[in-house]
Amino acid sequence: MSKFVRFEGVKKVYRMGEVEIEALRDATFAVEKGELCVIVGPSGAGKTTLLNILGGMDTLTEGRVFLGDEEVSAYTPRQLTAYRRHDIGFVFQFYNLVPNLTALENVELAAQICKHPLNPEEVLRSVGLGERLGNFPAQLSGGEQQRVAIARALAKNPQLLLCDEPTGALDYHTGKSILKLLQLMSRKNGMTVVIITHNSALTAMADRVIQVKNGTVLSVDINDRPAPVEEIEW
Amino acid sequence: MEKLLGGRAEVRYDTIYAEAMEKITDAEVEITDGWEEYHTQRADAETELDDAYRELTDGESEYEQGQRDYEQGKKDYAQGQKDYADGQQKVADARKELEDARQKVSDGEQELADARKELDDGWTEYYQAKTDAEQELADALRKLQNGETEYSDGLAEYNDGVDELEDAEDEIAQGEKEIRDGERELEAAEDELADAWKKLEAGKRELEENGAALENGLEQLAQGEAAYEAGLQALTDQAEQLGMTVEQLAAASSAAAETLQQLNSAKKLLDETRAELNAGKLQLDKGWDDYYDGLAEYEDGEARIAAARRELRDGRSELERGKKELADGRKELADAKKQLEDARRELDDGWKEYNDGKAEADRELADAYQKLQDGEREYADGLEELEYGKAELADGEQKLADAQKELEDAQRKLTDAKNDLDKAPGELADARQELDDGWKEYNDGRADADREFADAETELHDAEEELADAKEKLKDLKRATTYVLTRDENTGYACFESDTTIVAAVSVVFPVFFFLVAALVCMTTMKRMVDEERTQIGVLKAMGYGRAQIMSKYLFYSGSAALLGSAIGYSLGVTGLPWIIWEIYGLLYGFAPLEYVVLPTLASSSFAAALLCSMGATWLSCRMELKRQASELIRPKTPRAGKRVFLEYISPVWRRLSFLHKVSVRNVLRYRSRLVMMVLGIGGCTALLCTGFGIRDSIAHVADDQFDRITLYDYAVTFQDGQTRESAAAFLDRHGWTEEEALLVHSGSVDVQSPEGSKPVYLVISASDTLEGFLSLHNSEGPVAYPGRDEVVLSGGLAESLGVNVGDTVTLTIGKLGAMETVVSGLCDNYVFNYAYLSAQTYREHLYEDPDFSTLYVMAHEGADPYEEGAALLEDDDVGAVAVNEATRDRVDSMLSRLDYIVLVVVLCAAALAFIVLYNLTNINVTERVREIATIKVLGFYQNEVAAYVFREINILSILGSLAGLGMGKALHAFVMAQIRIDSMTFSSRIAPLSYLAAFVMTLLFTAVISLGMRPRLRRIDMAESLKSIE
Repeated sequence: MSKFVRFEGVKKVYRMGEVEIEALRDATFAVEKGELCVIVGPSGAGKTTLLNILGGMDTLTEGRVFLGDEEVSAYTPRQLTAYRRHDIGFVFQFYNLVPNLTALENVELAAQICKHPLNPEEVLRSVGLGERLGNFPAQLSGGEQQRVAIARALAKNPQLLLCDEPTGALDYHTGKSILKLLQLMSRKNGMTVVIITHNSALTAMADRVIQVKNGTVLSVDINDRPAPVEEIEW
Repeated sequence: MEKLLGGRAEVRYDTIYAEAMEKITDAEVEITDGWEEYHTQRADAETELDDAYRELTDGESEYEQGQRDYEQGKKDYAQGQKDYADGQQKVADARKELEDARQKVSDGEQELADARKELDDGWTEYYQAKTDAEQELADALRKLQNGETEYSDGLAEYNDGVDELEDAEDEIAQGEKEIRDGERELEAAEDELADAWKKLEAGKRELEENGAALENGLEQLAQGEAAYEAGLQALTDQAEQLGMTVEQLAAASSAAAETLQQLNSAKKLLDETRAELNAGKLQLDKGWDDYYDGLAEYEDGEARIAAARRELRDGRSELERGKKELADGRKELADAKKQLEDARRELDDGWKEYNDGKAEADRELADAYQKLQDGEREYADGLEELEYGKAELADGEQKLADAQKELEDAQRKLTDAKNDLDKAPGELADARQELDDGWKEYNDGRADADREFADAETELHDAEEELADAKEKLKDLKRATTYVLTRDENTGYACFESDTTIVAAVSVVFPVFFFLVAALVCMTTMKRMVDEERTQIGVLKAMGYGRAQIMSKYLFYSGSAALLGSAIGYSLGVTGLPWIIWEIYGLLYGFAPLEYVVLPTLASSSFAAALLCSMGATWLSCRMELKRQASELIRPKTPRAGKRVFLEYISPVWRRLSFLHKVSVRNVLRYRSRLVMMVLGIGGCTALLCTGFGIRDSIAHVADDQFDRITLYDYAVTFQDGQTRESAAAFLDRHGWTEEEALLVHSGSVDVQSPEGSKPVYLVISASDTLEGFLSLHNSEGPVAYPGRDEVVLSGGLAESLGVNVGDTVTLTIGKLGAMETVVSGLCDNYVFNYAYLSAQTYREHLYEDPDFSTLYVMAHEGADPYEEGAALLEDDDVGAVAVNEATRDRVDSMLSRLDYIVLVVVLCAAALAFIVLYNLTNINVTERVREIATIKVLGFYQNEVAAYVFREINILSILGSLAGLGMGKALHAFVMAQIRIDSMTFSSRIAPLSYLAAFVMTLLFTAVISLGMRPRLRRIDMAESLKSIE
C-alpha cells in the first residue's frame, strides 16, 4: 500500500507580537490508505496544530504535507478551500451542527457543495439515525449529534476523515459507540480515518498510533492486532 | 396704497435728473483728461522715433563684425572634424574591449550559476543523506538497544533458571534422605509388630490353658459340693429317722457330731475354692480382653505400615520424576546459555557494526560537508571575483558611455557649428534685409504717428459737441408713472415662502423614523450586551452583589453612552443641518449671517428620549436575566432551538426553494425583533427616499405645467392707459404683429370671499370672452369653459383654500368699485399665484363700468428672444411695462434647483439610516454566528458562498423592507405635501414611478455597499473558532 498521508519535516511557528511560538517542529510521519490512525498526546502537544494543517485550515512554516500525490502545503487559500471541500471530512469535538437546520439539512449542507456526495438520507440511516432525520440538533442527544456530525463528514465522500476528540464531549458508553462507528467506517468502507485524542486508551483500536509530545512526533507504531472497541476501557 | 406711494414719482424724477447731471459733469472732466493725454503721448512718440534711428545705426556696425566672425568659424570647424574622427576610433576600440570583458563576465556568471546549482544540489543531497543516515543509525541504535534489553532479560532469566535448578537438586536430595529414613523406620516397625504377634500368640495359649484349669477346678468343686450335699442329706435323713433334729442328733451321737463337723469344714473349703475360682475366672476374662485389645492394636499397626509403604513408594516415584525433570532443566539451561552466548556475540557484532557505520557515516558526512564548505568558499570567491569583474565592467561601461556621450556632444557641437556656419551666410543676408526693413519701418512709423495725432484731435472735438447735445436733452426729461405690487405678487417672496415650508415639512418627518430606528438599535444592542455579559452577571450574583448593584453597572454604561451620543448628536443637529440649509438657500436669497438658537425643550426632550431608550432597554433585559438563578446564569445559554417556519407547511413553495434559501428563510423568521427593526429601518430608508424624490416630483412639474400648459403667452404688455380692441390692433400693427398673435385683457386684483375666508387674487377678464391660445383653462378632467354671465372660474388651489367647489357662490370685491355675487362655474389648474376669471359682461353689469383693458398677452415671434422684443416694446411711449414669463420661470426653476439639495440631504439621511440598521444587524448576525461561519468555512465553502450564506438573509430582509418602505413612502409623502401649503403656489402631490424605482434600487445599493464592507470581517473569522469549546 502506498503512503497516503505524508508529513515531511513540518514546522509551524506562531507569531504573537514579539514572541514566536513553535507549535510544531520536524513532524514527519505517514498514514496509509484505509488505516485508522490515532494521534495521541497531552494537551498542548501540537495535536490540534497538526490537525489544522492536515485539515487545510492552517498553513505551515516549513516542510511539506501530501495527500495522495497532491502537495497540500503548496496550495493557495482557494485551493485549500477546495481541498477541505472535496477531500476532507471533519468531525468536531463539539459537533458544530447548525442549530437552525434539521439533522438531514445539516448533512445536506455539506453534501450540496461537493462533487460526488453520498445520499444524505442513506448516510444518516447508516449511522443509525434513520428515524431522526427531521429533528433539530437541540432535540438530539450528544451522541446523536455527533453521529449527525459524522454523517455530515461522510456525506461529502471525503478521502480522509479527520476527527478532533470525537468522544471528548460524550459519556463513556456513547463515546464507545461513536468510536465503534468510526472503526466500522474504516474497516467496511476502507475510509482513512485520523482521530486526534489525548486519551491513550484509544490507541488500542488503531492500526497506527502516532504519539505527539512537545510539538514533535515522538513515535509511530503499527498495531498488528487492533482491538475491537468493545474490549478497550478507559 | 397707491395714494401712499403717489409721491414716489416726483422723487423718482429728481433722482434721475440728478444722476444725469452727474454723468454730464463726469463727461466734461473726461474730455479735459483726453486733451492732456494727447499732448503727453505726442512727446513720447518723438522720443521713440529718435531711439529707433540710433538702433539702426548700431545694427549696421554689428553686421560687419558678423561677417568677420563667419570666416574664423569656418576654420575652427575643419579642426573640430579632425578631432572628432580620432575620438570615434578610440571609442570603437574601447567598445570592443568592453564587449570582450562582458562576455567574460557573463561566462563567469553562468559558471557561478552552475556552481551554485551544483552546490545546492550537493547541499540537498547532503542533508538528505544526513537525514537518511541519522534515520538509519537511529533505527539501528533502537534495534541494538532493544537487543541489549532482550539479552539482559534473557540473562536474568537464565540465572534465575540456574538458581531454581540448584534448589530443585537440593530438594531431591532431601527427599531421598527422607525416603530412606522412612524405610528404616518402617522396617523397625515391622519387627516390633512381629514381636507383638508372638507375644499375643503366647498370651492366647496361656489364657486357653488357664481356662481349661478353671474348668477342671469348677468340675471338682461341683463334685465336692455334691458330696457335701449327699453327706448333709444322709445326716438329715438320719436325724429325721430319729425324730430329732440334726443338732439333737449331733448332741446325741458323737459320730454324728463328727460327721457334721467334717461336713462343715468341707463346706468351708468348698466356699473358699469357689471364691478362688471366681477370682480366677475374672482374671481370665480380663486376660482375654487384653488379648483382643492387643490384636486390634496389632492390626492397626499393620495397616499403618502398609500406608507408610505406599507413601514411600509414591515418594520414590515422585523423586524419580523430579530427577528426570531436573535433567531436562539442566539440558534446557545449557541450551539457553548457548543461545545467550550467541546473542551476546551477535549484539557485540551489531555494536561494532553500528559504531563502524556511525563513524563511517560521520566521516563521510563530514567529508561531504567539508567538500561542500570548500565548494561554498570557492563559490563565494568566484562570486566576489565576478562582482569585482562586474564592477569593473560597469566602470568601463560608464567610462565608455561617458566617452560616447562626450563624442556625441562633440558631434552635436560640430553639427551645430556646421549648421551655424551653413546658416551664417543666410543670417547675414537676413540681417541685411532686417536692417533695410528697419529703415523702412522707421520711415512709415513717423508718417503714422503724424496721422494718428490728427485723428485724436478730431475725436476730442466731437466729444465736446456730444456733451453739449446731452445737456440739451436733459432739459426734456419726462415725469414717471407708479405701479404698486404687494409682496404676495412678488415671485421671489413666493418662492421663499414655499422653500421655508418645504424645509419645515421635511424636518417634521425625520425625527419619527430616526427615533424609531434609534430605539430599536438601542434595544438590540443593549440586549446583546446583557446577553454577552450573562456569565458575568451570574458570577456577580453568585458573589453576593445585589440586583440593584449589578443593574446599576449596566445602566451606567448605557446611560453614559446615550448621554454622550445625545450631546454629540444635539450639537451637530443644531449647528450642522441649519448650516447646510442656510448655505444652500443663501446662494439664492442672500441671507443675513446664520444665528444659532438653542431650544431647551428640544434639547431636553431628545436627551430624555435617548436615555429612556437605551437605559429602558438595558433595564428590561437586565431584569429578565437577574430573575434567573446564579447557577443558571453561569451555564451557557441554551441556544435557541431551530424550528420550522410556516412557509415549510406550504410545501409547493417550500419545495421550490433551493436548499440554502430555505436556511435563509428560516433564519429570517427566527428573530422577530430583528425582522421588525430591519423592516422599519430599511423601510424607513426607502420611505425617506420616496418622500425626497416625491417632493421633487411634486414641485418640479410646477414650472413645466405652469408655463408649457397653462400660461402659453410669452409676455404681458401693460399700457399706460386703457385700450380698445381697435387701438390695440393699431399698436400691434405698428410693431409687426397680427391681431391673432395677441390678446387684450383686463388684469387687476380682486378679493374672493367665501364663508371660510377671503383671499386677494389676480383677476383676469378677456376683452374677447376667451383666453384660447394664451391661457389654457383646464383641469384633470378636461378643458374648463370661459365663465359666462354671473359666473367665475377660480384656480384650484384657491378654491381648495377657500373651501368652495363648483356651484358654490362667492363674493368678489374689486377695490372700492363694489362687490358682486358669482357662481363658481369651474376650477382650473394653476400652480403659480391664484387667479379668478370673469367675463366682461358680468363686470359691467355689476359695477356699471367697463373693465380697464390695459394688458396685452403677446406671443413672441418665432425664434425671437422675448427679452429683446420686450425691451423694444418698452420704447413705445404707450407701453408702461413688459413682464416676460421667462423671467418668472427662471425664478421658479432656480428655486427647484435648491430643492435638489434638500433631496440630497434626505438621500444622505436615508443612507445613514440604512447604514446604521444594516451595520448593526449584520454585525450581530456575524458575531453571533462566528462558530457557524467557521464551521461552514471548514466544510469548504468558498469566500463567496460564505458571504452569500450570511448575507442572503440580510438581502431578503432588505427587499422586504424596501417593498414595505414603498408603501410607507407613499403615506409619508402625502403627509409632507399636506404640510406644504402656501398661498402663492399650488403643488399636486405625486411620486413618479421612476422615483419609486430609484428609492428601491438605492436602498438595495446601500445594502450591497454594507455587505461589501462587511466581507473582510467574514474573511477574518478564524477557522480555529470551530474547534473551541462552547463557553
